[in-house]
Order: sequence, then C-alpha cells, then structure tokens
Amino acid sequence: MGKLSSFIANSDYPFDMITYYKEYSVTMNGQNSQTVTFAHNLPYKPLLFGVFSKTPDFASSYTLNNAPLSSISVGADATNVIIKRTDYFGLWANKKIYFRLYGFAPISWTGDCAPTARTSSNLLLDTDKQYCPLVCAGAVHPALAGTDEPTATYYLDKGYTEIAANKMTLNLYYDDVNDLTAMIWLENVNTGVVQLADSPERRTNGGTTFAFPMLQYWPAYLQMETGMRYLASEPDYITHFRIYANGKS
Amino acid sequence: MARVKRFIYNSDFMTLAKSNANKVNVTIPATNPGPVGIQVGYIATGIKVPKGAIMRANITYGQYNYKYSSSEGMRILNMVSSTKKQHWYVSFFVQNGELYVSYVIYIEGYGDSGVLVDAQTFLLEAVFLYPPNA
Repeated sequence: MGKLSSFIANSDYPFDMITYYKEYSVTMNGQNSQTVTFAHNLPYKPLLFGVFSKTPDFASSYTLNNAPLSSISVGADATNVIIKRTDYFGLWANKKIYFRLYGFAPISWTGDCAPTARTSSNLLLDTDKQYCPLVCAGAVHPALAGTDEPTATYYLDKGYTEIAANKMTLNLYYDDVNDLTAMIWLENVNTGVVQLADSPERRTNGGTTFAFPMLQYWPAYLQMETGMRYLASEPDYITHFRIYANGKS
Repeated sequence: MARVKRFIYNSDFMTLAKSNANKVNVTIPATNPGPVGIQVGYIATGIKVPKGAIMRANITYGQYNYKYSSSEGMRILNMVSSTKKQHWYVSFFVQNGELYVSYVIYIEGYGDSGVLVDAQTFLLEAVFLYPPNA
C-alpha cells in the first residue's frame, strides 16, 4: 500500500470532520481564576479544541490548553462548553478574550451532525494544502490494574482504525511513526467533563503511581498509556484520541 | 444534516490541514539561580505561526530517547544528584507571529547557593493545524 504522504486523499483513511464551530468572546474578571460556561446545544459531548486571542483578528493567538500557572482551557460536559482560566500572572484578567472553538464528535456518536464549513470564499478542498488523514480514533477507559490484560496492539497501516477499549497501554504500529500527530482528550468519569489533555506526563503521588495519557514515539510504534488505576478511589478517566498522518504536501 | 461516519470527506464540514512543520533545536542556557533557586527566561525560535492555527509540539529530549506530544507546556525532569532535582518547565507563546519558548528552572530541596544549572537542549517540532475551509 502506498504511503499516505503520497496522496492528497486516500479512501482508506477519512478526513476528520469538525462537527462543532463557535466564535465566542467574553470579558474576563479581575480574579486569577474563572469559569465561563455556555450551552453547546449538541446531543453529544464534543471533543473541543481551539485558539484564543486578545484581538478579534487573531493576529497573535494561543492554543487553548491546560498548562499550569497561566492558561485558558476548554472542555465540555453533556450540556455546556466550559472555559477555565487559571491566571496566576494576571495575563488575561480584565481583558476581552476572543475564542475560536472547534469540536469533534466522539466515536460513539453515530447520529447526524450539522454542517460547519464556511466556504463562502474558500476552496472546499485546496490541493495546495497538506491535509491530515485520520489514521486512528478511539475512546479508551482503562480497567483497574490486575483485572485484565493491560496492553493491546493495533496495526494502523491497514486503513482507518477505530478503537474502543479498556486497556492501560496501546501499542500502535505504523509505517513511519514520526509522521503521526495526536490530539488527546480526557473525560473525567466522575464529573462528566471532557477536555483537551495537554502536558501529558507521568505523575507519582506517594506510593501510588498513576499516569495521565502519555505518548511515546518508539522507532516502530506509538505507545499510548491511557491510565493506570490500582484503586477504585483513584482518578477515573476515559481517553479520547485522534491520530493523524501527513497527507501529500 | 449528515452522519459523518459514512463519509471519507464531506464538504459540509471543516477538516484539518497541517502547516509549517518546523524543527529547531532549543537550548535553555546554563544558569546560576543563586539563593532564590529559580530562573526564568524566554527564547525566540524563529518559527512563524499562522494566524489562528492550533499548535501541536513534539519534543524530543535526548536523555529519554522518546518524545512527548503536547500543545503547550510540559516538564522535563533531570536528576542532578540524590539530594537535588533540577526541573525545567517549558511552555510556548506567540508574539508578533513568532513562536517563543518560555522556561522556568527551579531546584527542589534547594539549600545551597551557587548551584550551576547545566544547559539543556531539546528538539522542538512545532506543527500547526487549522481548518482551511473555516
């Protein structure tokens, strides 16, 4: 099979379709933390991502993220979009912030989606752009350690792969792992909120080790660690992810 | 309305394109935090950022021989000795269309003065995603 990077489009791998788009602005208060919510009016929890800016033309924009110290992040529950500002440096306090929010439907959603393309002046498909074929998408809810085989292996060069699993570790084999770009969301089972996962890192708390989603690019495969729960009392997350390859540039 | 799972491509929906895949080596300079035990700074990468694009960064840190994927903010931990830990916290921001790396270096269990923090170099691969038909 030819490499995906040889093709503008390959019918073995779909383009990922953005099913939610929202332009939003709000003037932040003077506090160093704040939560803003509004209804998304969707029949599913969207996997949100996007950018924000202090100017409406987005001349300088920042990726929505969950970095500590000073960040603005976006998430969603079954009803609302949830914007959280953590702002110990006061970078965004008392300022009007503009947002462009995008969202995917989780793989569990099989119903209809309203159009999002705004193509009044742009090409529907521009062969000068490098599009990102969707290699793999999934939702993984790891089981408690010791209750099941912890690792699953998938081969991603056979066409688009959809994964719904309960594994702690996924080994994803692909022709050129360095061609892959991932986006990951964490859904907290207890709060029902799903948000983009940034700063994936392994953490140790006392004698118990739990890992938020982490990606490791080994020579032959991409390893995704979706969580490690030894006790039912530890944080319970579902990892949603999308993995893209490079299309023809 | 359409069921997106039926289609390889549907022009009713935005999709993602990739632009400006850049690789640069970023070196956080050696420093002496002195009695405070913390040092901050920023480094211009020279990477131009498309307006409104979403950044994904892969960072390859040689000591660990693998790379993380994060859009902003990650920690690189380097053990210096059994009693001191040097942490480099790295994050990104955009100013005037250029990508900058900001860093914070701090030392856990700091009790001495005059500790030299070594320079650290990592390979930054910044990828920008955006929907062309937005």
